[in-house]
Amino acid sequence: MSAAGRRLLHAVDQRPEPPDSPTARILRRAGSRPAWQPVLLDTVAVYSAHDRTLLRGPRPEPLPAHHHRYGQRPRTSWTQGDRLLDLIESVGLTGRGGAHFPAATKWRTALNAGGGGTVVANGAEGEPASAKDTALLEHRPHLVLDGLSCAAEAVDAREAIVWLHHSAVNARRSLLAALRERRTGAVDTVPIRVTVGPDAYLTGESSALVRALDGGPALPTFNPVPAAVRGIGNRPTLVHNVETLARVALLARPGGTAQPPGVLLTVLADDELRVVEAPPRATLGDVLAKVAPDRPATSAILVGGYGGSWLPWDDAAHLRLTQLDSGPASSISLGAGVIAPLPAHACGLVETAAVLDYLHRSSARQCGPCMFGTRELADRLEHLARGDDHHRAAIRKIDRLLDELRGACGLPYAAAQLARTALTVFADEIGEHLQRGRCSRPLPYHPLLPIPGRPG
Amino acid sequence: MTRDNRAPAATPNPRLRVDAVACAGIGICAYLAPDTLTLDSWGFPIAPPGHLTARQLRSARIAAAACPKRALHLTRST
Repeated sequence: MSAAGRRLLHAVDQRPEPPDSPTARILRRAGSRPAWQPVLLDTVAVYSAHDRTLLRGPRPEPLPAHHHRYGQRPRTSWTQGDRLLDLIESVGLTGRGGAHFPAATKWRTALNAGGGGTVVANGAEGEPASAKDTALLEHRPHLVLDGLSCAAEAVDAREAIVWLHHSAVNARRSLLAALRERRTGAVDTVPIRVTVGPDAYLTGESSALVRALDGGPALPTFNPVPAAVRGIGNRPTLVHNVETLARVALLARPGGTAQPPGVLLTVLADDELRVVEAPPRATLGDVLAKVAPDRPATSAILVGGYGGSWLPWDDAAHLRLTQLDSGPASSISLGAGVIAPLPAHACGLVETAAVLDYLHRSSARQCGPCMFGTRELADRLEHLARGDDHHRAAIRKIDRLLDELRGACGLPYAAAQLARTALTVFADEIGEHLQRGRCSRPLPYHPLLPIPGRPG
Repeated sequence: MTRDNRAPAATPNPRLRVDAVACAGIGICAYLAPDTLTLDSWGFPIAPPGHLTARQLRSARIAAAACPKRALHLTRST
C-alpha cells in the first residue's frame, strides 16, 4: 500500500463517529450486552501430555483472592439446599467427569435415601488426554471445596472426601494448603479429607472409588442399587466430578446464574494438554484456531477423549460446542471435554490401535466380555494397522465384536465407541492398509497420542 | 399402531441385569431361560435390554435362582 493510502486509512480509522450514526447505535447496543467472559479459568493452563506436570499457567488462588473474585460461599441450610437443587435442575447441570448424568437426579436420590452419608469430589482424572480437573484443583482449589461443602451440607452428609490419583502431587498440595486456610476461617461445616488411589485409568470410575473408599480394591463393581442410595459404609454416597462441584459453587452464590461459565476443554496438541474455558457458542474450529494456532494441517479430530469419537475435521470444524455438549443421549459427546486434532501426516488407524491397546491393558479384567472382547478388539485393530490381516472379513469380525463388548463399567463401551468411529472416519486409510499390507506412512511409525506407561 | 385399552399395569415387570463382574460364563442361565438369555461368542449371557415379559420373568427367576455365582439380578431400578 502506498504511503498516501496508509495515511488515508489511518485518517478513516481516527475519524470520530458522529454521536447518532447507525454504527454508533449498533456499537452501543452490542456494548450493553456484556461480552462473554471466562468464569472458571481465565488463563490457558498448559500441562505436559506425558506426566501432566504444569508447564505454564496460573498459581493456586489463595482464599482472600478467591473471596474477592467470587464472594463468600453461602451456607447451604436445608431450605437453601432445596433452592440450590432446583437451580441445578433448571440449568441442567450434568456430570463433567464425562458421563453427563444429570447432577440433580443423583442429588435427589441421595436426599431421599436419608442423610449421614458421604460426598466425594472426584479428581482422579483417568482420561490420559484430559487435564481440566487437574487445572481446577491446582488453580481454583477453593471453588471445588466450596462446591463440595455446599453439596455436603445440602444432602446432610457426615463427611466429604476429595479423591485423587497418587501422582497428583501438586493438586494435593494445593488442596491441603487451601484446607488449612479454610480451617482458620471456619469456611466448612462438614469435615473434608483428601485421599489418594492408585495411578490407574479406572481409579476415577465412580463404583471403583466407592469400593476403594469402603476398604476394597479400586476396581469397578456391579451395583444393583446406585451409590447415591447405598455406597460407602452402606450410606448414601454422592460422587461428583470436581468441575461439576465448581459449577455448583458458582450456582450457590447469589446471582450465580447471571454469568454462566463456558465449556472447560483440554486440547491435546504438540505433546501438550492445554486447558481452556471456551464460550459455548464457539465452534471446534474457533477453539483450535485460538488454542493451537501453529498446529500442522488437521485431517480428523478425536472428540471426548480416548473413549470418544473420531470425526473428519472438515465436518467437525463447524460444530459448535453446544451441539456436542448435549448429555448422555447424544452419540457424539465432549465427554470430559477432551479434543485432540490429528495431524494430516499421522495415521488414524495406528493411533486408534495404540489407544485400544492402552484401554485393554487398563481393563480390570473382572468381566468376561471385556477381558476377552477388549483384548480381541485391540489385537484385531493392531493386525489391521500393521497390515497383517489382508482380509476384508476382518472388518466384519470387528463389527460383530463391537456389539458384544460390555461390562460393569464404561471401559468396554469406550473402546467400542472409539473403534466404531475409527472404522468410519478412517475407511480410506483402512482400505489402503488392506491393499498395501502396511501403513502408507513412512515406517517405523510411532503413535502421536500420549499413552501412559509408554515412553513418549 | 394398535391401541392398548387395558389399564396400565401398576408396576412394570422388572429388568434382568447381569453382574458381569460375578459372572463366570457357566451358561446354565441360557440353558434354563433360552427365551430370555443368549450367550455371546465367549459364552457370557446377554440379557434383554428392556422390561421382561411375563413369560420371560418366569424363566428369568428360575435362571437367577440356579446361577452358581448369583450373578443375575431382577431389578426395578432403571
